[in-house]
Amino acid sequence: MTERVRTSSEVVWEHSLEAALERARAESKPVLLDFWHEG
Amino acid sequence: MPLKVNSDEEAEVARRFQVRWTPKLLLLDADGMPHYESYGFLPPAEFQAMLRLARAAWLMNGRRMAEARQDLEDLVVATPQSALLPEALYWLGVARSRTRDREGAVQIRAQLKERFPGNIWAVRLPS
Repeated sequence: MTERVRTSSEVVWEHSLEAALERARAESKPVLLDFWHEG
Repeated sequence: MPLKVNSDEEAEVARRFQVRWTPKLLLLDADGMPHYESYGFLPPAEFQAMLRLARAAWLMNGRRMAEARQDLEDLVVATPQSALLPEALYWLGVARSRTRDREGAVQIRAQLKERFPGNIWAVRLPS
């Protein structure tokens, strides 16, 4: 299941690569991947 | 479409895109093909410039050269002090050339060489 978090700036962050790619295809936009790790 | 990926929890995605260091930002097309990457932290203004440069790269690779050119023209005007300006000037030269503005391409390349003679983006220009 894809979780969507709507921030105060109205940026909708996807939590699944598949969902992000699907949305990118639907809206003809690119995907921005922000890789991070703890520590 | 923004997506946060914890490289420890999503090792498969991290492996797919060869993530060794974080933070790492990648701009992909809808087929999952990378078009731009950036490492490390950037202050807000530089981060915005980087996003615009990344979008221009995506447009150029998608052969939307006129749109890329306009984005780069706007970026160069809007961010005259950006550390990313040499890279933006380089790609603007390419975009001008590919939109049949040979004179404009020569002009922007001359500007890049004059303002940033030791910068790698100026070094990359054809002699």
